[in-house]
Amino acid sequence: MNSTVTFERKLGWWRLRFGAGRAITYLVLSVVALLILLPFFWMVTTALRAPDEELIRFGPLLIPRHVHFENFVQAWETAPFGRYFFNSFFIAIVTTLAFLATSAMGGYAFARLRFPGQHILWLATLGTLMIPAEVLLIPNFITLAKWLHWSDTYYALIIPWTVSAFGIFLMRQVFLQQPKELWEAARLDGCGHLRFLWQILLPQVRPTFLTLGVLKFFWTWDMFLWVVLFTNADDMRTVTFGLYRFTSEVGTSYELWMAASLMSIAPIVLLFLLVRRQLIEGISRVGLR
Amino acid sequence: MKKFLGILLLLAALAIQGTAQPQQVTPISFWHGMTGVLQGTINALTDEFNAQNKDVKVNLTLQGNYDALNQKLLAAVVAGTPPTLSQMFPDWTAKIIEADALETLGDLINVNIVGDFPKSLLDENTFIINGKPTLLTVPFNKSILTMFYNSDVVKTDDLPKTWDEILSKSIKFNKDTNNDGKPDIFGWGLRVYPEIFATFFHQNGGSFFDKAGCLTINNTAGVDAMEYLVKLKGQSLYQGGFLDAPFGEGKVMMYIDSSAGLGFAERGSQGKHGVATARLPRGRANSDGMIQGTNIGLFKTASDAEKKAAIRYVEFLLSVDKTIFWAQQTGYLPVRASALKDAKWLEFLKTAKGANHQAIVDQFVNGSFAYPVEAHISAWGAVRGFIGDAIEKIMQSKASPKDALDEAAKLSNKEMKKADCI
Repeated sequence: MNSTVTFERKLGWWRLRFGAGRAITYLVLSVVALLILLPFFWMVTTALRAPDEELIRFGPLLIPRHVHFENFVQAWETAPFGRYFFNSFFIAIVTTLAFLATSAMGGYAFARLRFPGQHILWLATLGTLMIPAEVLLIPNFITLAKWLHWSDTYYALIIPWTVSAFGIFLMRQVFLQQPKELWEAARLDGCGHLRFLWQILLPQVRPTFLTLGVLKFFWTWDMFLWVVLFTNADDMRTVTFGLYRFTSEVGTSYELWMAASLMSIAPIVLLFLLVRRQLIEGISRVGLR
Repeated sequence: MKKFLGILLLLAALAIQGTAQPQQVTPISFWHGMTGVLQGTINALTDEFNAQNKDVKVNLTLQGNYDALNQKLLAAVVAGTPPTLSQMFPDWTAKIIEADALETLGDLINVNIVGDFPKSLLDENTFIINGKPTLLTVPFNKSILTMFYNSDVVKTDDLPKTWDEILSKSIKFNKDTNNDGKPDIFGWGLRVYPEIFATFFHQNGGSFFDKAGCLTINNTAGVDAMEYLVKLKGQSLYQGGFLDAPFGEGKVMMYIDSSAGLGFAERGSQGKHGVATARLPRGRANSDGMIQGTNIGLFKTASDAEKKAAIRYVEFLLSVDKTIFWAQQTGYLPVRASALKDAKWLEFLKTAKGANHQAIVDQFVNGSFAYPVEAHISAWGAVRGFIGDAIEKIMQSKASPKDALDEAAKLSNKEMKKADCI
């Protein structure tokens, strides 16, 4: 009798923990995770292989026959990666901070303030989202390189990316979700708009704000064509530019390319690990609304 | 006497001051998209030129890759801020012509150099300007399609001389080493891109354009060539990427690709097996291989002094000595006919490093061709894309050669604004 009860209890626990539905969920998620991780695994194994080893292999053959850590040294020495990393960090950090400031203030202005021409300005801001980037390439080049003479300066690599309709739009939507009473209570205590924004409103929407910043950092770090367009001097170029040193029209040094790529994504991965909780929270909050 | 001495001293001082004046340096810019060995070699050549010509400073600028270089060039031309010189493919040149931004470099370069360019290179650099064929750019990093083979396994008698022999001889090297019923070692490696198709099409007697200027890749020669490539795919290792890696691994015995890939084929095979090159097998009409690579253009926005300096630099790069040095270091072709007969080059061909260049040069001198002048239009980039799409559909069995080539020809003629052809 006792043993039957224990067995049924165990079965219930088993069903609860590992029921068919849950098992399928885990299975699907595991497969998806594997599919996502496979290219990264290929990157790592390729970065460690000899130059003459075949690229496309399956199963255990993905593991290189001999591990070649010197690929990382060789890749690093192929181009001035130290300078490239400095530029990438500097541009990405400054752009992200300025972008967050303009997004927060722009979003706040459209969400909380009332001023003449607001509706038209809002429509114009949204309208810029509809223009494909390719169309703007030549006008931007003329403005920045020809008129402002900003080629080979950080201005050209940072300033045009410090404001975006997407950032303003996202922050406006998030600010609109916050209760109006917050502002009324703050005003009663003598709080001005700027102080209310930085000290009360932004802490309320921290996950979304942080997500926006992380995404901006990723996008800026990945920038390639813009860097090529507005720089000629090698000491103004960035990590993504350096990655093109390993590929040509007649062949590619995959092992060095992947070694350099791994080095280039390391800061991004690190940043993701540091803020992943807020990032997930931010994305899920935006998704709920 | 004192007065005379005073004047003499003054003149001497003036003379000294005159000689002490710093020489005026004319800076010129050269944009390119070359990395690796190519970048190292062009850097070395340019350093040598700068050292020999103290009044000129050539500033080389790598623009990432050819796609980025193309976009930057177009933007700079529109903005009126192009470099002095740039590498360019013929279809880019055609776009730049529309902005009237290029000097006719062929007229400015020493006639002895121009007269020394092989015909296929002259054809590739000739554009129709005001109804006249004009040598607008000059050749620089030129390669040709050639056949690579594993010289430890494939002996001279095994080399295919015709299309039929590619099929019959290469299949003998197919091996199923793991007994799964499928070969894992292949006699032939196949990678098909527009210039490979163009070569088989041309070898099959095909002509890209008819008299009305309509693209005719969908004629019998084109369809037969594609059907042949599909048949060849069935017994080959077929892949979209470069074949030097499986070749190095000993999984492919023979393949056709750009001669500029020789360095990669040798690197991949080092210590494992020998690498050799051979002339392309013959099609129904000929055994020609297509010329590829970029040319150099000079922009009108440069000042007269910059143009003169740029011409000196280009003539330096095209000198017999330097074009030979370029070819020896990079695997590209010397672009002067006299360089191919020069003692230095002939000596190089006898060395271990130069031996593989013999067949490449033979292919270049005795069997090379380029896209015809009708293809030197700004729409050619899009046309090349349509041909690439057709190849992909055919090779993935999503469309028959006839249907896919018909569609590519129709889209291309529309892009080229040839209403009568559609």
